[in-house]
Amino acid sequence: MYQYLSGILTIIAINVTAVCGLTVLTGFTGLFSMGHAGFMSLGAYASVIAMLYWNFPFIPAMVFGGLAAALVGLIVGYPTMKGKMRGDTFAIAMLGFSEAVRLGLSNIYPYINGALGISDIPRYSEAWLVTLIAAFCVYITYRYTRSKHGRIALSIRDEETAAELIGVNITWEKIKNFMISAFFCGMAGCMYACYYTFITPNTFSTTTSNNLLAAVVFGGMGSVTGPTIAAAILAMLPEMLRFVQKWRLVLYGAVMILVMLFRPEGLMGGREFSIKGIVRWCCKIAAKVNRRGGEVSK
Amino acid sequence: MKKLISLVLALVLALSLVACSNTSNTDNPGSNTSNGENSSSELDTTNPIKIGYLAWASGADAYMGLVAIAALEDRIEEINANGGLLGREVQLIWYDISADFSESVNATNKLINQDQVDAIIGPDGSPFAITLGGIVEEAQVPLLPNCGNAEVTVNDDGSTKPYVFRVAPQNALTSITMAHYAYNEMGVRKVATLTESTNISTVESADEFVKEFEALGGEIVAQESYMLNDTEFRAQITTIAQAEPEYVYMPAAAYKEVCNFAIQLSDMGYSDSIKILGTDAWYNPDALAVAGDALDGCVVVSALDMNSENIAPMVEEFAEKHADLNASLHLYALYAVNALQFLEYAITTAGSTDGPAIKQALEEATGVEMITGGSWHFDEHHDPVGPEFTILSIEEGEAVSLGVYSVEQ
Repeated sequence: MYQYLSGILTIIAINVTAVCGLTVLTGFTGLFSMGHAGFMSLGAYASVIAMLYWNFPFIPAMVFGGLAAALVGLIVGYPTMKGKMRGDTFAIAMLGFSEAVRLGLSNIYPYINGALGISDIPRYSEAWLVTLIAAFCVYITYRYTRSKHGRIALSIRDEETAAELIGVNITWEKIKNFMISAFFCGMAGCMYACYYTFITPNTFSTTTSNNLLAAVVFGGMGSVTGPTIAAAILAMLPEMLRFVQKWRLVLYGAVMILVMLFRPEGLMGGREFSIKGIVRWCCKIAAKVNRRGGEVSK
Repeated sequence: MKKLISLVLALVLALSLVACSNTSNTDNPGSNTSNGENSSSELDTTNPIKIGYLAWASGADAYMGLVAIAALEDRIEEINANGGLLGREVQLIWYDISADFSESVNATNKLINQDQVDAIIGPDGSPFAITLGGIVEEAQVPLLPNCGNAEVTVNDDGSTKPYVFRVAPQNALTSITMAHYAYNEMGVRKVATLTESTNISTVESADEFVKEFEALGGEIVAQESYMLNDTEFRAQITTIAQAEPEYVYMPAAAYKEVCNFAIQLSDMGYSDSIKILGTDAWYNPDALAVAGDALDGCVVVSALDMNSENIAPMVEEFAEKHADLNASLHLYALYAVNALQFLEYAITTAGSTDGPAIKQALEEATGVEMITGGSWHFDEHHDPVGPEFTILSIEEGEAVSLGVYSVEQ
């Protein structure tokens, strides 16, 4: 039982790490990306090469994977941000980027073995370790979004022209947040490779990108804890729904539609999950119940 | 209304949590005890032998897993009707693994840790099976995948994965057989290849074919590729036609792409000059029904002739019994039944369901009769020895056997 649950916990931690990156880019900067699986893939391959060929330990290799993804983020981000791409055009550009990465890796054989993939990767992604890393990433993301950088990102998301008028360097801020998102996804890619122990270019597909974006929207734009909770729920849901067997993916989609229909702002909206907030919410409910009780007794 | 929906959602989640933590298999909808009407009264149902199956059971290619599940359930029904194994009832517990790559690991962990299965059959896709060697070795639960990539049973350093036993021929063997038959028996000298560029099995198959065909003296005149679920092949056909090959080797993983390619080849007027060489990964009675005459003249290497005297009645019986599936019995479902036959043999021979005992019995097996024909055993790398390849020619929408062929001939 432990192995099964720790496996699910590992997947949750990996998804949360990747979603932290996309939260900065999509939730706070307002840039929708449908191709961040490409960065996961690049991070995974870079870190695996570092581990297998240069004997990097796990954590440095993971940081190396993140940095490699961030570097590619800079290369891709500069022309797209300079060209003022946003909204649907940026989302489609990222989709193209992700497919280009997938097909490119499929045709490179030195070091990475093309479509045949890399096997026998050491299984370093222990549940406790990746959970710690994910928690650290959530904390860093939270601090970042609550700093002046986060407020600048929010100003770009909500009123780009006004932000530019007050002196915000829009292009640089977007590139910076794009690189941060690529870094987190690159690290998540490394964690995935060291959990699954075998990667091919198909491992990180368009579905992966869509799931990451879904977690951010599902959790709430402008919140860090919302997408974190959403990433955990979306990772657990396919496993929880195994009792309906072949219908589980249909039910998975149906649950997502219903949640977005009845809570379009996402699970948390722009708010954050906190103990104080829960206590306040409980007090509010208790007061409501008391009021109703009083009305009934009258 | 919102509250009602929220309540329903909460109930769904609560129910699923309960199902997730349920350690009993008796009420698992994915398990099949299949006692059958003639079940022996002495059958021990309190301590069943549990066999897991990792199935590709949803999405566009769900027919691969759903047909295999039905075939396995039929066989288990038969076993239980004849007194089970070691006097114990046999149960099948299957999980779908089609959502993403991590699913095969999660499902395997669930089968081992929660359901406590005695052995696992599948998966039928190499990328899903390669990663499972370490998990089953640690748990000492034999895994019998029905897929063909070399790395499924062998580590990078050449060592054999101790608890993994392949129950389908290797991709390399299939491709080498096709290359030899094309060059030596058909006199083909110029071949083009068309490969799904990101699929590990199709790329490996094409690589092996190219290597062998060129070593024999043949010429590969074009190497084209496509992506998964592509439906448009006219660009590739134009390039291939310019290279003037006699045949196109297309080791596709599923039949949809081959049917579309063949139909478009015919539409563009090249069907007389260019034919397809294929493998049993896509050879399926349904493919012949979809592509019709467009596949005429194709030559396929297969571990089985589905129209043979032994298999044809099985296909018909399956179609009648499982009309609701709307899919024909296919070779990979029969490979899954092969795996079950190996397990029947190993459990009976070892007299135990302990993982190490089953493993030893599988390693020491000298000849086990398979539903796909012949008697098989495993070599030192846990690859099957004994599969015979049949060469099939597609004529007027029907597969016609050209006989059994092996490279040693």
